[in-house]
Parts: sequence; C-alpha cells; structure tokens
Amino acid sequence: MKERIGVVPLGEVPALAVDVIAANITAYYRLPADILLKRPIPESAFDEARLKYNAGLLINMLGTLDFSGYSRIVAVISRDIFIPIFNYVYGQAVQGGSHALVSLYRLNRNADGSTPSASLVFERAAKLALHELGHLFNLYHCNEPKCIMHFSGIIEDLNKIPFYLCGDCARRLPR
Amino acid sequence: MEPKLRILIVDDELIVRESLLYWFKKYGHEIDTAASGPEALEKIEQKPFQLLLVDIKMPGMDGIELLERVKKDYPETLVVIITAHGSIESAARAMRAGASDYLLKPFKPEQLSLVMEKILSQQKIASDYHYLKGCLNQITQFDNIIGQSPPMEKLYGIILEVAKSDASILITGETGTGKELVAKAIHAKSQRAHLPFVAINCGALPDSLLESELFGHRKGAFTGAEHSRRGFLEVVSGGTLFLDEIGDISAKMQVDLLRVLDDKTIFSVGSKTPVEVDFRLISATRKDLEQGIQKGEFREDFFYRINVIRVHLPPLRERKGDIPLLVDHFMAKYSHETTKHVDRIKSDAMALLTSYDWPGNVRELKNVVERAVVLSKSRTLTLDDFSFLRPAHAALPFEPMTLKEVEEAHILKVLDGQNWQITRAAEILGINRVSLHKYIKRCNWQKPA
Ligand SMILES: [Zn+2]
Ligand SMILES: [Zn+2]
Repeated sequence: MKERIGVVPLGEVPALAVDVIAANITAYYRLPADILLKRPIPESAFDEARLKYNAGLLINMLGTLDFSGYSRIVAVISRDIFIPIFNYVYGQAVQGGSHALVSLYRLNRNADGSTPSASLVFERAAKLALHELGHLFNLYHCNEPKCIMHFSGIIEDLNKIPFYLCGDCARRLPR
Repeated sequence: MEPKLRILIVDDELIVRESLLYWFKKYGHEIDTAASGPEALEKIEQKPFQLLLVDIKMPGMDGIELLERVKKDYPETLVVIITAHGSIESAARAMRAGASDYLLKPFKPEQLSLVMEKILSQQKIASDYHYLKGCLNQITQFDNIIGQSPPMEKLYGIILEVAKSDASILITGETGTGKELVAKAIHAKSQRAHLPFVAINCGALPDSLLESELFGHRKGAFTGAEHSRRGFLEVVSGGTLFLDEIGDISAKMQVDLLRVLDDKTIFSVGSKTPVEVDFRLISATRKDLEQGIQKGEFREDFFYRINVIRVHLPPLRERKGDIPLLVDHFMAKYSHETTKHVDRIKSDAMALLTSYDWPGNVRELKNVVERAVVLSKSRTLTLDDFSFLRPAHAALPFEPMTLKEVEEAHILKVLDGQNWQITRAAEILGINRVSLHKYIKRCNWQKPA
C-alpha cells in the first residue's frame, strides 16, 4: 500500500495543533497526511489510580477502528498519558507498527513552570508526531542530537532537536 | 548509532515487561524477558546479557537474591534494580549487593534514559578493560605460546636468548607441546624474522618425496617430474628452516643434510650445478636421539650439527598451573569460530581438566576444549561436557600397554584396595573367587607383607 498518513484527534483537541502536525508530516516525510474525524476517548483506558490515560490501551483501541485508506495513524490527545512503568510519556508508538499517539498535555508548560508561546507548543507537538511516526517507520532512537529521532527526556530537549532526520536515519527510512 | 546492548528484563508483571520491552526496542537494543528469577538464570545460562533490569519484588526468588546469584556467577553483568517508591532501603541493599543503579517505579522516561547513559559508559569501560586485558594476554602469550608458569617464563627467556645467535637448535619435547610454535617464536625474534619460515614435517613424508621437497628437482629427474621445482632449502633463502620429527629421517637423508650444513650448497635432484643456500636450521623431535645414536639409528656427527643449542619444552603435566589460562584461550578461540557463546566453565570441570595428565599435551587439551565447545548446549562447560575424560582413565598414565598388562594392573589395584580380601576383590571384579585365586597363582603374586 502507498503510504498515506491519517491524523486523528482523540476527544477535544485544538484544530490548529492537528493542522500543524499534518502539515509537518507532509513537509518532512513528503507523504500525504489527512486530518480525520474526531474519535471519542474510550474511558476504559483511564487509570483511576493514576488519573491518566494508559497509552498502550489507547493504541490497542486505535487498532480496532477502521482507518481504511491510511497506512499509518497518528492520534492526538489533550490528556496526560502513561505506560505502566513510567509516570507519563509525551507520545507512544509501537516500533514498526501502524498506530502512534501524541499527547499535548505536557507541551504547554516549561520545566521551570513558565508558559511557552503558542507557536512553541505547536512546534513541540509537530516534532513529537514526527518522532513517533519515525518509530512506526522502524527508526530507532538516534545518538545524533541534530535528528528528530534523538530521544527527548525533558520538554526543553524537544526545543533543541530539529524537525528533520539526520542523514543516517534518513537513509534507513524505507522507500 | 548508539551501542546496542543485550538486555534481560526480569519482572513477574507482564505489563511491566512489555512496556520496558517496547521502550528498549526503540533504541534497537536486543531484548529478552523473564517472568521469574529462575527463568532469568536459565536464560543467562544460555547466552550472555550485558544488562539485567530486575524488579526487586517477585514471588519465589526475589530481585536481591537474583542480583546476588548473578553477581557471583557473572560478575561482569550489570544489574539495575527496579523497586517501588517508598522502599528506598531495599534500593540501598541492592546497591550494596552490587547493583549498578536503581529506579523507583513509576519513573520518568528521562530517568531511565539517564540510567541507560550511565550503563552504556560503564559498559564501554568494561569492554575497554577486556580489550586491554586481551592485549596483556597477547604479551604473555609470546606469539601464541600460552603460559605464565615458571617453566614457561624460563622458556620465554631461553627463546629470546637463543634467537640472537645463528646456531642450529634442537627442540625436544613430547608430542603436542608446541615445538613448531616455539620454532616460529625463535624465528620471529631472530635477525632473519623478515625472511621466510619454512616448516617441513619429516615424519609425514616418504624419503624420496622429502628429498625432492628439500632439494628440489630438475624437469624429468624422475617419473612425474614434469616441471623443475626449487626445493625448500633454496626457497627458504636466508630464513629459518624448521624440520619437525627429525628423528624420523633416513640415514641417507642425514648424510645429505649434514653435507648441506657443512658446504652451504645443494644440488637439486637431476642437476649437477651447485646452488648456494643460507638458512638457520631448527629441528625438533619427540624421540630420544641419544638413544637412537646408541642403537645406531641416528648419526652422531649429524646429531652434533643439529644439536648446537637444546631447547626442551615441558610437558603440560609439569605446568598444570597454565591449564586454566589455556582453557580460557581455547574456549574463546572456538566460541569465536563456532559463533557460540561459550565463555565459562564450572569449577568442578576445571578441576577435572587440571587433574588430568594430558599425555597428548596442549594439543590434546585444545582438541578436548574444541569438542566440548562444539557439543555444548549452554554457555557454561560442565563436568558432563568432559565425561569422556573419565577420572579412572585420567589416573592411568598413558603407556603403550597390552590388554594383558592393563588387566593385571587393574586386578592388582583392586586387590590392594581390598587389602587382598579375595572374596571382596572378586566381587568388585565380577569374577568368582576360585578364578581370582587361580589368576593370582598363575601370576605368582604374593600378598604384600
Ligand atoms: Zn522515541
Ligand atoms: Zn538520526
């Protein structure tokens, strides 16, 4: 199947964030990306003890939905997400899989508690989506700081990495 | 690319194993999981892991016990302990037991990321260390001769000493002691090191073939000689000629070689033109040549020409302290060649190898380790892998005995062991007492006073 990326909002998500994500996917991976209909957040993925959504369960749920015509799905959510061993994650994707999830929840606050500009929040959201999509293309974390596949630990790390893949990762991209 | 590690995740909770598995896969690490301590030990037994992530709270064998077992048997394996918030004292216990780090769960992604950075740098230091250790071994190995025991240290000194001179050398020693390696080492340390080293096994060649190998032949010198060929005495041109099993050459060949050593010229087979030759001769033998001279099988004048300097190689049983070093070396060599991860040996198996007398010396040990590595189904060699070296067999020095002699020796041993109580000895031997009495009488044996 020819690659075609679907960007799907889960629950209430700012429309502009979804637009920016789709536009950047097309710009940096040179792949068509469409914005799909909003889907409801399944409340069964909510963890009562942690008061967050289980990213693994959300990804599994995405797998049960019909996205015919799209080779990969990037879902966007405004809520805080986690995977069991971690307090939280910014995004989640199964290595080499077809569904990724990014959360906007932690993007609009800096580590020092200050509030970033709206444009910086969108930049972070786009980078996160490009990074998780890289995992779907089976790219691993990259040692090169000037690469979208470089792992970002704290939120400010996302500011430092570029939008693009380094040469090594670009070559590994399946064509 | 970042260095990739082989990581084993040990946790009884499937969900934790899976989330860590997915996480590490994003780095391209090679991941395996185990749901319990015993399962983890089983997996480590099969193949090495550089890092273990171990949950401290598991039913049965807990994380600390697993950590202790791993640190005892596989000290180079790094272990990171995962423990629940609020049990900081168990984290401290883990650190004392040798854990590299700990994580209080749930943790932030960047915390795991930081721990991994630390682990990767430790891993790098560890592999640098192994690399350095490898270099040091190289030095003590003295060009593939392995050993640090006093007889070997002495041998290294002798090699350096005799390499300086140009005199003929005779290397003596039992079969499998590495005579050719020593000859090569002498050549490598000599002034002829940049010139050829030519080795010929005299015992393996019939006389006529040996003659043409050494002296060469003109075209048509004999049936089958379709081309002229230069002999090794000429080919070696300035280098070292190593003649192994010199004790096996014929009387005629001894005369021919003696003349070459005197005149430094040769005539190839079927030719009348002399060719000048220059080489350093190193010979080797497992035989007692002095005895050969007494029996008239070996020429005395030739013996004195080849035996200007004598280098004797100790049998392996006289340097048993080197056996662990040799076993490690051969294990690494054959693990590499067979691409199996066999990198350790149980202490009782090593004890068997060190107690054995090795009549075939280093070569036999090498073959035994190769066989064990090839057949081993785990990364650790055990006593079972060497069951073919049975201690009963090991205790018997290898001698060319007849079956009759072996039988007598065995019966005597059983009799001595039972203090000559015939009934008990017969029982052990599986024969009746009358037969044993008859046997003793026939052999004229007496119970020792
Ligand atoms: Zn990632
Ligand atoms: Zn890269």
